[in-house]
Amino acid sequence: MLLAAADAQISKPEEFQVKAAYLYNFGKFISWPGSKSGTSFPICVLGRDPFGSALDTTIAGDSIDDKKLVVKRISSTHEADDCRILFVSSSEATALKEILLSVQKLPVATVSDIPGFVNQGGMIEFVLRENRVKFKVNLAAARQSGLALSSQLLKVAVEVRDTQGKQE
Amino acid sequence: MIRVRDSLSRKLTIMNLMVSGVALVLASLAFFAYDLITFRNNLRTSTSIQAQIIGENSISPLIFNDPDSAQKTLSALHTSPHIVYGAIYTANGTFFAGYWRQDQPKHPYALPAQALGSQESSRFAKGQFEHTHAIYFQGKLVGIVYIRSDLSALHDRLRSYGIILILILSASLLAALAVSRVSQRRVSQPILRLAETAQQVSREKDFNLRAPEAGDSDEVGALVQSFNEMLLEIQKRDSELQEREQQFRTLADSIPQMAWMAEPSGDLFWYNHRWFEYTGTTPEQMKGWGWQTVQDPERLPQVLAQWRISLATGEPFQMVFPLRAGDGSYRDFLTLALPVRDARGEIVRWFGTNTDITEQRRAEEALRRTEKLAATGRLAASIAHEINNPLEAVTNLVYLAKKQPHNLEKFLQLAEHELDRIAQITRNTLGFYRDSASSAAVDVSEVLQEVARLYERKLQFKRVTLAPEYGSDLTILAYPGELRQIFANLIANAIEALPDRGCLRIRASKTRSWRNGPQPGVRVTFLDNGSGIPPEIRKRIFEPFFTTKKDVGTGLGLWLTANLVEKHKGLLSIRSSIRPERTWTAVSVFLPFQPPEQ
Amino acid sequence: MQPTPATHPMNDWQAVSVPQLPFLGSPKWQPHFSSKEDGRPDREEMKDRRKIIVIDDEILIAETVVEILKEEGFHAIAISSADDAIEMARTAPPDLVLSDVVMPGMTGVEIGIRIREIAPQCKVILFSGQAATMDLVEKARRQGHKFEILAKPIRPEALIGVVRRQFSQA
Repeated sequence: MLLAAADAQISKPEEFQVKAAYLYNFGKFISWPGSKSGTSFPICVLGRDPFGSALDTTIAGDSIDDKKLVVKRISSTHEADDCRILFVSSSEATALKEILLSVQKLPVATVSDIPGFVNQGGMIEFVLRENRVKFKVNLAAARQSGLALSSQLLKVAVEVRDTQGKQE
Repeated sequence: MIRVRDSLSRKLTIMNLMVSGVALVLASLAFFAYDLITFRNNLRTSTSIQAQIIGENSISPLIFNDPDSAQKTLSALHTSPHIVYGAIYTANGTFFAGYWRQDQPKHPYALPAQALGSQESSRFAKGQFEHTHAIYFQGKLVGIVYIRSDLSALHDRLRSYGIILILILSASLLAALAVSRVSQRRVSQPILRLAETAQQVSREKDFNLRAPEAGDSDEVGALVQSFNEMLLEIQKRDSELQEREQQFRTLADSIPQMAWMAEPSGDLFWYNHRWFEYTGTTPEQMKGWGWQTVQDPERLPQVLAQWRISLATGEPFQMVFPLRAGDGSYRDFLTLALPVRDARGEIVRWFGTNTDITEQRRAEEALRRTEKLAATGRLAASIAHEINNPLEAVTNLVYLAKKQPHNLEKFLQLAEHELDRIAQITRNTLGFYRDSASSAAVDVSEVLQEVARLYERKLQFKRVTLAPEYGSDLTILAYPGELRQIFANLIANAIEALPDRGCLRIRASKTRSWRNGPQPGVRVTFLDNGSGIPPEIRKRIFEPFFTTKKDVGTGLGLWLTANLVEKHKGLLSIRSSIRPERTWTAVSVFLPFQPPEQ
Repeated sequence: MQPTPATHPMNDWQAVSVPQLPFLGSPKWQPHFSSKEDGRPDREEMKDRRKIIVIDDEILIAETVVEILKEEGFHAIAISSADDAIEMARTAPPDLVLSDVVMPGMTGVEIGIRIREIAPQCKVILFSGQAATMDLVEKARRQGHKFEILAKPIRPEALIGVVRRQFSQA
């Protein structure tokens, strides 16, 4: 029952299991504006899906705010309109700027594990700290999209930025 | 002696103290209990709130697996010094993050069993308070908060209370003691004084004492009053008793009789004054059975025997015997003694009297002699009467003999005859009334005939017919002189009562009397058809000096006759009828053949 | 049993004799007064013809008294029954009656009263041997009848004296 198995290296599947869980849980700590409607709660994955079945398994049958969670895999941001959460896979690292630009006005929570994501205007960026999956948060980006992030979320974030699209 | 003072005061004081003490303790306990409950509730509530807050704040750290964040939240617990351990566990009970009070060893505790089952649980165990709180996020259990606090606060409070209680108790005990002292004066003092007085009265038997009045009009006051009244009552009774005693003694000393009292055992323990006056003895000499010394030695055995019988059977004692006076002479006393019984019927005392009947006996004797004298007088008169006529004849004959010498022989012959007659009369009647010294065999019918002859003239004068019916074998053992007197008296009475030409029947026969067992003897009945004797006179007829004849007679005839009949142990009875046209009187004498042994 | 008259000590008094001893009781007499028939030698010195009757239930007494009186020259007869005496008082009243008091039947007192009624001129003297007679006489006196009474035994001389006194007292 020790706190940290710090020396053990986290494996990829584990990592994405956790990330999937986090993705799912983010949904509980983010509030979308009223304009966002829809009968389901889609979590979209843009690019190559690194979760495998983890995300599907995690959200299976669950709902947030009575909206059924679904996983949507999309290949372009055009399909991201009704996404609540959009995970940008690291396969899209090169097109990051364009992706962010096209969705920055949309009430979509952008999450990625691409390094520097939040610097580029992404809302939540997965990072690994001591073999543990953590995340950074860009409040301004969220604000810009009209999303509110619970303080609870911010609490556990390793870093919280509140600058407007400041580029590193 | 009992130390009453201490006991009662102590009791009162102890009572007071106990009352105060108990009240205080009860009150304190109540307060303690209330405080304790309140404290625990407060603790539970506050801990619960803390757990809740921690729980709320630990949702995301739990979800996002950030123990440090949770730790931070937990560290706020240090502000509650009583919390020794606060930790968050994951939904499956694994330790996630923890806070230890500075002095605590830093190792996590296992979740108590009930934590997993319920939303919230609390337990006071092993001097600590454990509280668990399940953290739910959107309907799902995400973790459990587990807080342990020690109860040192509570213990401190209890200790403080304890001290306060002891202080208050002591103070109140002292106060109770003081109050006791004061109230004692009002409550116990009268009682103590009453007890003291009672003891004194009992010890000194002095009923003049009185208990001091109690000021209050409560039960104690009433008790003192009643006690004093009782003493007064006792005094009254005492004096009454003394008075009665005095009255009794005066009475006992004033009566002419001698009186005495004896124990049930027969010991005489009191004599009245007369006894000592008469016997010239002292109380010391007479105590117990000392009275024997004033008894006639010849009669003493009988007296003792009879007294012992009475003592044993409880039957009243009655006897006539002589007692010696101080000068050595003897007088006859009728002694009567009765037992005095208590409520159960047991004899507690004998009360006796000795009545001097010497004079009475002498008087009776004198009476008898008087009657005899009178009878003798009458006898002499009757002789005189009887011989007057023959004397007259002789006087005349002597005179004529002188005048008519030629008829001398005839006259002398006649005179001789008359002189014989005189001789017979005197012989008969003089021998008549002599007292017999001893008894002899006497033929009743002979005596009756003798007596009848004596009254011949009287019978003739009234022209009364005599009808004798004498049976046979009428010889009895009797006193001849006395027997003649009896018959003479009865015949004389009958003749008196008879009218002219009346009839006197004398019946004598053998018979048996049943008065004191079967006794054979002779019954003589004198039946006359005179005017009869009314019942009221019949009742008194045997009384001495009782007579219906106005100036004739002493009234002693029948009384004497009754005495004489008794001397023969016989029975004398009178029956009479005063019914008009059928009046009669029957006097009946029964004489046993042999008087029973004296 | 009756002895023959020859042995009777009083057979000299034929006129008034009874053929019996006094003790055996006396039959009823037939009173009979006749100076001529008495057959007694005359007593010239005594010519007193006064008649006396003597009443006593004891015949010997009555007769001896009669004899005494005759010696003194009186005419006397003895009577032993009250009824006979009263009868005589009616038919041939005597001059004097000498009577015993205590007798069966009528007492001398009663006889005296009756005779006085019948023959008031007749004198009555009583004699008795019993003290009880005093009551009777006292009673009679209270009723107004006075009687002289003599006590037995009486000396004949005294008796004669009383009789003569009575006669002299008209």
